[in-house]
Amino acid sequence: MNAGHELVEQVYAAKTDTEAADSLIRQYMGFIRAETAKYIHRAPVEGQDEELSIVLLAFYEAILGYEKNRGAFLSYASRGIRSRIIDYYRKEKKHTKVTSLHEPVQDEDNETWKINQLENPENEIEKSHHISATRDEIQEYEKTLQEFGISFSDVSDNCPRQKRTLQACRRVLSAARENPELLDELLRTKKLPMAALSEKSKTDKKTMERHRKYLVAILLAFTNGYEIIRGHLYHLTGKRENSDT
Amino acid sequence: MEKETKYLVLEVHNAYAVVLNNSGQFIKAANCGYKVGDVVGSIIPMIYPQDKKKRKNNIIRLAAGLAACICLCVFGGYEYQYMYTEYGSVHMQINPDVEITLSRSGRVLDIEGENADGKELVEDYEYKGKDKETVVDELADLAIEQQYLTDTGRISIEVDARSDEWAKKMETEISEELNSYLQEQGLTIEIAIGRAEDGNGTEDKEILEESQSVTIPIPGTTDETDDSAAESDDDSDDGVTDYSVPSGSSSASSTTPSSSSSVPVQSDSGYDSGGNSSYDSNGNSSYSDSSYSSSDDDDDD
Repeated sequence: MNAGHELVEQVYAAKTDTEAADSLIRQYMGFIRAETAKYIHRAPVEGQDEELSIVLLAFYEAILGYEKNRGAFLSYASRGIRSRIIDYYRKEKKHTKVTSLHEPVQDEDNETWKINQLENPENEIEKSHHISATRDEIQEYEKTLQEFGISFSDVSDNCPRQKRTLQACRRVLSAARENPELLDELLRTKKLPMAALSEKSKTDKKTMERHRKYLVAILLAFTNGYEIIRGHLYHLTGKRENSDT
Repeated sequence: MEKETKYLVLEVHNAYAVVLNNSGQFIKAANCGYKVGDVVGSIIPMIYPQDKKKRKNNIIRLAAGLAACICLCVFGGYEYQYMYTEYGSVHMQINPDVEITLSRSGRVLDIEGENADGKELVEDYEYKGKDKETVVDELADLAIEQQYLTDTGRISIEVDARSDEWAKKMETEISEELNSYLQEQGLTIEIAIGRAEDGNGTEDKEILEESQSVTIPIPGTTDETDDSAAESDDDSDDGVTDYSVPSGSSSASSTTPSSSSSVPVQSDSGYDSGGNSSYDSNGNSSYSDSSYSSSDDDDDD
């Protein structure tokens, strides 16, 4: 079963390589759509059927979780998809009367979210400007991170999910904000000033090292040029989010 | 009221997107038609394989648990019955006599006195949970204490049970136990297996199937062979004689008014109604019966 072998290899490669993952998913789009059709009983429409997004995510999770001893990859993926869809429907049942604000609504020219329609139409232009500005900022952010050898995916993988660790990272951020020269050093050297930060924030170096990529990203957000992003991080900054930057 | 969490979409892939929440967490989530820069109110976060809890195989757990319970019940039930259900009884006769009810494992379940002394012996005696060896030793001690049992005394052990084999085994074990226990104390006491046959004063009397009669010989009237003994005018012949009327004068003691022929004799001891000790009325016995024949008698009325 050469094809099987090949697939397994591809899966393993996709675990760590974002592009390989994207490529693999594109390759198996047919399978993914077929799986979706199983549950919605018709051909899925991209951008409209949330089930498709869920199946895609489940497929991706399957790539990350697959081990050779779990049998054939596609069967494994199929099982994962099934549990994901079941969970989704269970949650959806609780909110049957609520319609998603992100339900796609067909506008004249553009497909957009319902939430955008609820806004005052006069703000329409402002809104699109805002979004445009946000995108630019994000792009800039991404570029800077690349200089550190980090991608958004890397950062999310590296992001602490435990409360305790999260709080430790926040301490590090506070220490950096209180000592802006450390941020400068970060930008300059393209490296985290570990020793200083560890001392100032009273955080274990090991913890910091384990979440290095995340720390770089979050500290960067507090350097110049990322106002919108900082505005979004109001829980960290204590400021309320402004929609009219 | 806390503001709802919003997520800023930073990056999109075909299968997922990276979003940033208000607390600075970067999260991979399902890409529900997101575009970079979108702000969304709810996401479907990705679950990392290492965060997944190991799926509990419930059916196997259930089956194993059930099997364990069944085993427990079966063996527990068997053990319980073995240890706590009546299986046989030991009749221990020291006089006092007691009945000890045992389970199959030799555990003592009940003790009852079989006679009055037995009841007294075991009154206030705690036997709960003890094994048969302990109990017979302790009962022997009690009997010694209360002076029912003394050196050179005797204890009988008999065991009743459904299984003869078990009964024999118990008898052996108990008697061996008593033997060694009492010997240790320097006592010589016979341990007999089987019911005690000879009863002492307090034992129940034997009830016979057929009635037996006991004949009491008359002193001075039978076993003498010379004639002189035949003379009935011996004064020593007193009123005990119903069978003959003395020809002599000692009629005062005679109680029969008439000839002794009217007096019934119930046995075949050889005396005819005339008090003759002969076996035939012809007078052919060795005893001289001339003075006894009724014809010779002078009746004293």
